[in-house]
Amino acid sequence: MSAVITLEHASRWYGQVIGINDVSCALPTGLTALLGPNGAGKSTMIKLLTGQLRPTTGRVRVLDQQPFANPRVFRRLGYCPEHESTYDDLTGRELVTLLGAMGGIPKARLRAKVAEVIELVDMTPHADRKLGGYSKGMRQRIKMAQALVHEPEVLILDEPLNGLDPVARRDLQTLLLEYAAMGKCVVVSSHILHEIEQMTKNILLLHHGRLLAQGDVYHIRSLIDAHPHRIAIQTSNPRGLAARLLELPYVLSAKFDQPLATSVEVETRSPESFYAQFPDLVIGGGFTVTSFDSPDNNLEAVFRYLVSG
Amino acid sequence: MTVATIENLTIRYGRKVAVRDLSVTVPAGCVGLLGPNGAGKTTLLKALLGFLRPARGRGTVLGCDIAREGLRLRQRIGLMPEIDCHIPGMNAVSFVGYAGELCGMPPAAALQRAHEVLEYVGLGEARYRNIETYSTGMKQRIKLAQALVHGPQLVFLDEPTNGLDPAGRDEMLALIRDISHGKGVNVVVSSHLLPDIERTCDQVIVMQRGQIVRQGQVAELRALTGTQFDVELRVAAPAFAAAVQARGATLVREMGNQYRFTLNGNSATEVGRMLFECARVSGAQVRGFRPAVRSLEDIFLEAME
Amino acid sequence: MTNPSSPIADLSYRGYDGPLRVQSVRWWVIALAGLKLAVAKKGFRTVAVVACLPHLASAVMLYFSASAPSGLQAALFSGPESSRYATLLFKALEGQLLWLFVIAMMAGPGSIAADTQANALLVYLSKPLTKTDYLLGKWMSVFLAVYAVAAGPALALYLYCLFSYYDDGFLKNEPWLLVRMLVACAAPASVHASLLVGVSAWSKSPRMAGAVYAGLVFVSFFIANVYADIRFRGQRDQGIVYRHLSVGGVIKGSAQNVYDITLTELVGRRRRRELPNITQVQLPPPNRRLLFGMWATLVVGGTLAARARIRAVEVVSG
Repeated sequence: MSAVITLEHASRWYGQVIGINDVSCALPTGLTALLGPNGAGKSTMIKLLTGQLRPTTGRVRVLDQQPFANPRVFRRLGYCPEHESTYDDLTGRELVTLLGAMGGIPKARLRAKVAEVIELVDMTPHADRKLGGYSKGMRQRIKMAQALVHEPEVLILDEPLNGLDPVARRDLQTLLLEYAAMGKCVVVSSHILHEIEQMTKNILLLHHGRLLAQGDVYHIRSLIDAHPHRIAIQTSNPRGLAARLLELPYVLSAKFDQPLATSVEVETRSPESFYAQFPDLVIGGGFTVTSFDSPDNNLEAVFRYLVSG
Repeated sequence: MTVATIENLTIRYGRKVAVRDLSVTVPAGCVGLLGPNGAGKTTLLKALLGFLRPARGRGTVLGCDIAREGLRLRQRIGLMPEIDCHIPGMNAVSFVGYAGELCGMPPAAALQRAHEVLEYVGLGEARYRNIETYSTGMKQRIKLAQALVHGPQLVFLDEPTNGLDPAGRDEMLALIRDISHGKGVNVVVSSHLLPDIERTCDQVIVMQRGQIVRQGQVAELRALTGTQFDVELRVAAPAFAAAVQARGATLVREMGNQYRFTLNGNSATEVGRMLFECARVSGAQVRGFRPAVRSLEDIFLEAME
Repeated sequence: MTNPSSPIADLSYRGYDGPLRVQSVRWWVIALAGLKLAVAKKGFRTVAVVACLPHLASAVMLYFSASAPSGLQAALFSGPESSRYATLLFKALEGQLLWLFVIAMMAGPGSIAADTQANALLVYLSKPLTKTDYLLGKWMSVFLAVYAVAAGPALALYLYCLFSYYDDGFLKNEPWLLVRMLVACAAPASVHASLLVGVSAWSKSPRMAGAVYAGLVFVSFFIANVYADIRFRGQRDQGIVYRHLSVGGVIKGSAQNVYDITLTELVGRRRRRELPNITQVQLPPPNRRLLFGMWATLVVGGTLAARARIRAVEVVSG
């Protein structure tokens, strides 16, 4: 799978302030999440990818071309920005038509395409009202429409789910997943980790301008040695079970929740071994286990561990 | 214990009817207000703040009539708006103190209380800087501080984690949880982010098209009838599913390596043993299992249909 | 608060159960905040001091006029003796009108426009305030800023005259002068406050509000004077009302009416190869009723314009 977007040692700074610092990565087709705390360099990276800025050093390539001020790339790229300021006097339909024309859709097909994409984002009843009267959610959807209208191969979205109610959110997530499945490259930047997790396992994590991690979330989790895996077990006999578990060499610690005394949390650096041996131990020892799972095997924990060290 | 009651409220904007014949009781504690855009949440909130004159019906908030005692009402409640807002030309201390004075606190008490509340929301030395230089996280905290400075009994939070990064979100949610449990402040959180609501609120009110469609304790709403379990395997294993079903359980849902079963007559306490035996038999590796609960999202989406 | 049995203080959140003052003082809180903001502006104090100079100059001239020849005295106190001090105060006010305008421009344009920019109305409206409280507070912040700079030195000058010229019949000749002075100083304050609050409410930013208001003042001044000059062919004692059809004109005309004085002006006419011909012209105050009407229009109009624009903002968005 060849990379659609590549950065090679790309850096960008503003005077003394660093935007991104020596970032190298390759993004294939599919949905990738761009994550990072505020000020990590996500907006800089997005501006580099959408051709609004040039890297101070290094190279940025989108669809094998340099994106800066390059209309050929713009025609194949869709961008849904975070900010909301728009032309308040235009209607939604007019805005999408205008931007669609700029995106290179031939005049003959423009009207049909605009209607199609407005229907896709569920804005048909409101498309002919002025943008000044739109609510936040409506603006968000029109922004999506203008990003999609010219059927770009690369889609870059900055906080696309902001302001949408859960129903609209679910619809948009489905739309993005379908789009990514069609062989497009979709990059979503967001702070809402829960939603990102529902959409993709591929992440790109930035911190203080540097690339902190890239790849599959669970794979990354398994590599974070500094934080052993935690496994929370609900059982009627927490101490008894803990005593047996602590006999295993790779179990590092056991924590109990006082005063409820219904669960124990163990830590291990070898989750594989644990999962392999745990069932036999439970059955053999006659313990009653009502639930167990790993509370930190998710994106939020990975984010926290990597960012705060 | 209720903090607000609305009875048969009808509100009209010109000719458009925003809410018709709405009745709701807002309980004490931490309540989540959910609903799609245009469901009437805004109107309900404005009514509870005493801004709207109802065409019909009435309501009380903390003992004040919403139609007639709007000013007295607003002295007892606090609002954390969604949009960025501040008073120009002030730093955090003067802003929060000013907010307190606008509620009627004497200047000395307002200043002292401003410091106290700013400390509570976690704003240290930065409180002496001009607000216009603040980051999103700090601005959100200040909005919370100005809502709390006069010690209200009821606080409305509108999208409190808007624009915050994950660390900021955690802290804000922890603050909300802290203040609504044990500190005597009732909180109503309006948010589209259901995990936020799940983390902070004990009760939810779901609105749609100007009506209340669901209301209740989160724990109750989430509990599923019957005994259902979610099981996560290392890799998907049809043999495992078959083995479990052979033991009498029903397969409800299957998504990749995640399965949901309903136990029919199998004892809940023996679930663990049963699942492990099935896993051993089928060669699968169980990575976790827990009693299934409905997510708030599922509850919400169901309510919308 | 330290729990008596625990050495560790509990510093977590606690409610406030102190006193809450009654609603009627809210506008004062807003006015005070606005004043503080204005005074903190760069140059405010300098301008305020400069605005006192006309009064200071009058006091100095009075002081020295006691030992000056009578011709100088006459020049100082033009007009009938019964209103010589009124004229003095009026002239001093006239001298500081420009600076009062600058003061108003420091306090006024941002009063509501800055709030609109920062969405501050969301904060205000969630407090126990009415639109009236808010508007009154904003209006008063501009009014008080201008009034203080107008009435302060005027009061000082008045007291100086009172103590120095009491024996000369200061109080006897003009018993109501103090009241007139206090009211006259309200003329620039009220006009600037109302118009600025109105313009500020309709502007998107303080800068724009300032520019619009400055434009309004200067253009109206220019038009009024040019029109009067053209129509009345340069006769200064004709078309007095027309000359006062500007913001500055209304202020001056109102003050003149309050003081009830007739000004004298020296007008020179020059013809080629002749000596300049200087005559004295009498300028009575412009028609009282008309001017009061104009003043009321500006004040009420500005305030109502502001009130109309401050709609109950969407405190919670959809």
